Amino acid sequence: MLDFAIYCLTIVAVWSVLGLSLNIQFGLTGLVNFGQILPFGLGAYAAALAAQAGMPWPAGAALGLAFAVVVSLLVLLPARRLSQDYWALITLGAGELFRLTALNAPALGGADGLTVPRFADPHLALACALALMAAAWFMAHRIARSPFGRMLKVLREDEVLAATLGRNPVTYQRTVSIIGWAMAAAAGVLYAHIVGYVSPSSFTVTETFIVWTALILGGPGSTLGVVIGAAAVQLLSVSSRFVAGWIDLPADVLANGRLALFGLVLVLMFLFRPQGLIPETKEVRDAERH
Amino acid sequence: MKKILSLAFCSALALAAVQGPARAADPIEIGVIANLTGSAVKTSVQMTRGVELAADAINAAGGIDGRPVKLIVEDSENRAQEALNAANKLYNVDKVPAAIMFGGSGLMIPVAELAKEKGRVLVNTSSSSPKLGNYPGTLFSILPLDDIVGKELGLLMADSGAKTAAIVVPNSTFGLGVAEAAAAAFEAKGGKIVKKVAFTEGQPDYRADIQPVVPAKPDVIITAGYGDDSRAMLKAARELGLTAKWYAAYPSILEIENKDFLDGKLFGVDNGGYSQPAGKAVADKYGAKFNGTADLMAHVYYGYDALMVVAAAIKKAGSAEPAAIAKALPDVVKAYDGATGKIAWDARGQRIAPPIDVIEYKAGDFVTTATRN
Amino acid sequence: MLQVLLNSLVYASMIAVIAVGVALCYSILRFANFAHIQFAVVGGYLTYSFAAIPGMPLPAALALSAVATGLIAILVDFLVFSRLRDITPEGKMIVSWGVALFLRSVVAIIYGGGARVFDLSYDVVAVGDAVFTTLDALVVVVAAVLMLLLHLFLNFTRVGSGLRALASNADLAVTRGIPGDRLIKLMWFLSGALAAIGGTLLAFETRLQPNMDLIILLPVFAAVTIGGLSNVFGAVLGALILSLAQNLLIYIDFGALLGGESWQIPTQFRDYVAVLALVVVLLLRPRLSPLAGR
Repeated sequence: MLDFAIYCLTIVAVWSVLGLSLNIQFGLTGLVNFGQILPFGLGAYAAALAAQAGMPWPAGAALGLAFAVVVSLLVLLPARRLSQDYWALITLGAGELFRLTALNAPALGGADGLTVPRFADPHLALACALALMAAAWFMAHRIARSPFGRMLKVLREDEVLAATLGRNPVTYQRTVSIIGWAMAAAAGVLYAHIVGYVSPSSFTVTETFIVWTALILGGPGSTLGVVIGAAAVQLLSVSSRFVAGWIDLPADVLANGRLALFGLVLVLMFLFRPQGLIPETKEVRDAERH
Repeated sequence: MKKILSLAFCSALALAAVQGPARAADPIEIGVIANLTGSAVKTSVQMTRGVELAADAINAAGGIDGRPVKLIVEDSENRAQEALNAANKLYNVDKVPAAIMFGGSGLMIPVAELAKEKGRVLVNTSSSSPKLGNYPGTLFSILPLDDIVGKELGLLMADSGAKTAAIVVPNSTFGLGVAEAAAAAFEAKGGKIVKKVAFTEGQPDYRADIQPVVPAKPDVIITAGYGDDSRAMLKAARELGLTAKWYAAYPSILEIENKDFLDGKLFGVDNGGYSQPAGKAVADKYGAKFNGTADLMAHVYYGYDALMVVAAAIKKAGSAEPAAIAKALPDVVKAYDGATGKIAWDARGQRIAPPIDVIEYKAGDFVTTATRN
Repeated sequence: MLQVLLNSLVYASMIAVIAVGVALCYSILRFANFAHIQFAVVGGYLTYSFAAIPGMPLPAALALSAVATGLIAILVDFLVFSRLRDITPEGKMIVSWGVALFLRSVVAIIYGGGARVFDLSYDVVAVGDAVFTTLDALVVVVAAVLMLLLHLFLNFTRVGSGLRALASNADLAVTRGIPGDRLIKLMWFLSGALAAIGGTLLAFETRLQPNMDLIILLPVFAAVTIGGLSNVFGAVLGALILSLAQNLLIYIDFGALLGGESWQIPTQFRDYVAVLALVVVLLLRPRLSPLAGR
């Protein structure tokens, strides 16, 4: 039981980093990334490729971050200056292209995937995941409190206002994307080493929206909220397995019910509590000063 | 923060732990992991039913040394993360000594990693990736490797007098593995591969994929696949007016889309066990429990044999400890003649040299025309 | 080559019928509705269920399904979107994903995750080297008739011009006495019904599975984007262009073109065309509705 709790906490920590990454993109800046799984997958595959080439894990990590930064710039290139619906479509498409490529490129293992050296000790895995989460948390917190972060919020609320303040929205969006994507890539590197394996089936659109559910549930813009959201989603996910043991419902009905619940959570939160469980703290004074 | 999280988890999970540790008279719990939601559901359900039939048979005969078998079925959603969640629950919370799994290598390998770490047993009923050979003593395959079946298929094509062949397979380990082995055997006998199509699974329509085969005018088509995808593939081929003969690995798992289209035109090599008395007996049990055998697929037999050999290993070892099961498994299969025939494993726990039936599809039935091995 | 054109036409017909609904919704409510594609799947399943009623002819089942799905779309709007008219377009988009996820899971609970197929009988017709089925012909004809009817409705009826007025300037339209709320309900009904018919056509040609929306999501949105998002008939044109590009890409023998051995792009790379089309259109038309709907 303890082992299981350790495993669940590890997964929550990794998904929290993904959530925090999405939070600085969407929560702070208002960028709708529907391909959040892409940088995560890039990190994981980079870790795997480096391991295949016999390189030590830091090389894989560096490679993962580099991939994420380069690809984020590539995706941003057409997406800049676009309204968020286009941004969403482009990132969604880019994520799917990555999955398709991994699935069909023999060098990336195809459907078979690639193996990665695994953490021998689950406690160490948990410690690393918590450390990464703490680092991501610290970073997100610092960004949110900095003048840069306040500008991001202005950008989110009113791009035109930001532009009249002499700030180029594109520069800000680019910086945020690079930071956010690098963060998600780091989570991906760690995830690959925790699971010991990467394959295209781990990086589907569904995963992206599980991160979104966590973010919307916890509260966009709120660092603590995102982590709570990620924990709640994972808890919901594993606890439904235990519920299956108590009530006599077919396993497939239960599993679909769980996904339906995620969808319902997204909708209900928007309808009744758009600020999330843990609302973002608004800094009224600062907003007035600008 | 950490405290809140731990508290939340522990309170939820503690509820599940009230079952307490297993006692000697308690049932022996065996895990089952399958894609009950997501894509490729039908085949997973079939495998699970096979395991259920085996459990019924074991329990009807008084269980294993008086202890009944209890199955704990977990869904993997055809996603690696959920497969891991399922396996973690089974191995860490339910503490099952062995789990039987249906899923592609993308799901099977992470679970095998976990099973290895935990020192538990994993029985593979669905994936034929060579990478699964990396877990000797942990992972045991009921499904044979593709190379033998593929090679027999290639030889069968050459014997039929065909000179040219096209490959139409899903781009999975299974499809590509069969295609590669069959093509090699066919080419060694002087045959020529004129076109190769490897399509992505899960697409609704394959007409555009199969289109390029038409101008290549092959004598025969090498194929492999199962379930909904095979149905869509055959439909596209029929609509495109392909007249070549089909040579399939495990033709009985193809979903026949149109009987007339394939009548007398579908050949293949299949596992030789299903047509034997043991296999027929399982089919009868299936018919009795699930309202007839109309939807019966070969995956039932693999699921059935998976639990049967695990049960035999527990009985022989006199213990449900995973290490004892893993040690006894290679021994017990030597004497086991199951629904998929005799099982022979190499040192890595991979199934080799399965019995082979040569099959022809005639008037809506698969007819065995020859037997190998 | 003729075969490529035929394949493209059939595929484009199914995509177009679904895509016009996305464009219709975008033109009036200014958000990309992911749930719309799930409406198509729901419609397909409903046709399947209605057709299973003894004595029910298939066209009647299709009509019933179209009406039912249209009503479901109105219901979804009443329960969800109508209460969120004032949030950002991206917010609505995320909500629509939640709705899609919910509907998809409910469909899977009711019908199971395995595929369902319509048992239709049809003939194969050969034209030179190319072949098509009578079902293909039916799909194309139904799609063409629907598009024609929609065109006539939008351009030559009072209600239709009301819808167009609402699309071009909602505030002005409402001030001029056009009943905005009722027209929005009508728009939902229309797009829901169209989605149901498109989804059923797709199911006739292929199969029904709960996650079908994920498979056609990129092509549908690419088609709508090529057409200019809020342009209903642009979406039709977009579907045709996209479908042709996709089929051409996998048809051309690039190896032979470059004088080498025969080599074609593997078919699974078809979806790249959809995403690349999105990107190219956006690069070429950067001013295409930036900050649309704000």
